[in-house]
Amino acid sequence: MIVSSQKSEVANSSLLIVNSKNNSLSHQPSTISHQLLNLLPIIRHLSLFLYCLLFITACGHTPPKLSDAHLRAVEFNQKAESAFKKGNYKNALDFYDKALKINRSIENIDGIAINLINMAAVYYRLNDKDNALRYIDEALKPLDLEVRNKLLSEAMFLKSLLYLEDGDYEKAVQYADLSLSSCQKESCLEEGKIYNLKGRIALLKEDSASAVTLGMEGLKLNEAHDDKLEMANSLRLTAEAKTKNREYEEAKRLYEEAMLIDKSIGLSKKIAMDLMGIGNLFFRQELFEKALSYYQRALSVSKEAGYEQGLKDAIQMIEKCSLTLNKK
Amino acid sequence: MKIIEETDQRFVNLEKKIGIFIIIAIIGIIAVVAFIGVQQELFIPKTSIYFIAESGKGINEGMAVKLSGFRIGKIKELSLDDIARVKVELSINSKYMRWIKSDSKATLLKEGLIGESIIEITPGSKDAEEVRENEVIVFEREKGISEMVEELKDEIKPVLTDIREITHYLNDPQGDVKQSLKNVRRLSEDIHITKQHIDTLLKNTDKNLNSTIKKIDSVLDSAKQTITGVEDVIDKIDKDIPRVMQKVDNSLENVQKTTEEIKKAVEKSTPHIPSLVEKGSEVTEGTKEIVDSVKQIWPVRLFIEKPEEKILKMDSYDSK
Repeated sequence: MIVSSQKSEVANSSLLIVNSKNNSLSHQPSTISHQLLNLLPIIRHLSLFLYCLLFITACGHTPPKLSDAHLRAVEFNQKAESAFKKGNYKNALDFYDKALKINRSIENIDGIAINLINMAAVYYRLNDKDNALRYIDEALKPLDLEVRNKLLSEAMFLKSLLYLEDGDYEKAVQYADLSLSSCQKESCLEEGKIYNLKGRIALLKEDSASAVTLGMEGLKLNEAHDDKLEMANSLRLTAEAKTKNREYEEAKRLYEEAMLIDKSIGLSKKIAMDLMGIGNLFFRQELFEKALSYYQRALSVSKEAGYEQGLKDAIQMIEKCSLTLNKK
Repeated sequence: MKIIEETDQRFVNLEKKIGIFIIIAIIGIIAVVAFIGVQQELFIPKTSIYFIAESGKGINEGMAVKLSGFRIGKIKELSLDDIARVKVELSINSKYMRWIKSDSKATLLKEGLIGESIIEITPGSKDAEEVRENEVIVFEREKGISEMVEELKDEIKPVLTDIREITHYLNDPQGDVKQSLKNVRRLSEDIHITKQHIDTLLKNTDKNLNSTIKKIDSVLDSAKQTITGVEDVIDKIDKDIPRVMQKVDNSLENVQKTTEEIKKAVEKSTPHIPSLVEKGSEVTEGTKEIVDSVKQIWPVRLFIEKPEEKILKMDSYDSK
């Protein structure tokens, strides 16, 4: 009986122990390791069962499905985003408005805030500051605590950009700080870009030392989150600050690094900015021929990309360079 | 018996004189009061009726109440009712009450554009019952000048806007009218120039006519030669046409046969088309359901992006 018990694996192992206790004289004394060996098949079966259970549970769980109305809102939001990327701002506004109305009809707080902020962003691009501010405030006012910190951070960021463009640096800093604190509350991935914005403001306030510090801090965070666009922005910001500090070699290296990233993600506007930056640092060193060649490249890129501000800046600097060279 | 003898004639019968004077004075006072009372219609029997107004604006105590232009009473009292409406008591000479019917209306209006405000009561219809003491009649306000001006303003405003737009349209240098006028002017200038050209042309035509006729003769000669060539070509075509026509006939026959075959095939398949379409849509729907279901299955769903509304992220160097 003992022998047969030993041969069987699962069910008889318990019997084996009982029997070994009862017939201790006739039975070879069992060691602990021997008993564990007998338990192995049970453990194997049990683990298999647990795996199956886990698999079934995982398959059975389905993520919550969106309502038809919500799906329509998502559809309009995506259409608007596509129109925005193509520069068709009027259509973008129409689609966001439709998405907003649907979200309001189902009282989807996140959706309402997202579409209002997006409409503000479109108005910002359309250079309509009043409407941009109106939509941001509308996104924030009635909802208060219900808006997620991530959205709050984005809204404050946009507001800061608006004030920066307007030349109101104090308010720009104030909203950049609010954006940062909201972002940190939800550990969002946008911290780096807020540091960059703060750096830009510092640079415009002629505080190039702070700009370098903020740019480097931004770069670190952006690298950690692999945000290429903002990495290039950090590099450009630091390069701009270094140019002001007359650290031309370092600045050029940073500009080139930024341009490399901008080229890899194909952002013409930013490439033009990098080229203008390098041109400027040569201009400051009175190396006008070199500066001219970079300005001409910036002009060509801006022209093809339809970047009007870049075009204006490049033409202005080319004229300056040409005048100086002609005098010589 | 008098203790002292009155010698002054002026003081003889003084008590009587004073008594007569006082009586005359009292009679005078009574007469004046009576006169005023009559003037104020105090002695005419009055009937009180009411109307209710939403506001007491423009209604005052003592205001005249008229019927067909006759003063028939006045406003006696204004008071507020339970729901803060204005209850106006009209004191009407009872003899006029027979014209005030249950369908009579009290209207607040001005006598003339800048005249005094009065309450005008319209005589009711013959069949309606007379209003009795303390009953309520309907009240309405006639529109004041400011309200009328306001209404007129609303009416005129769009007209003015239209006129302004039309004027702007007419004055717009890029507008149709100005452009048309410009074109007409240009056209008339052109016509003038054209007329001058035609005049010179006609003068030249005479001169050139003779040489042109000569040229036409030579052209006609060459045309004759061309026609001869064309006749040759036509002869050739005449010969070739029957062969070509035969070929065309054959081709048409083939086309006809093919068309008939296609027609038969279509006729055969036509009844099946709706069901095919239906089945097609069923299959599409089924496929969509399957795809949707597959999308929900773990781990496939891990690789599919969840539909959600996205925020437009502005970058730190974003500019307009």
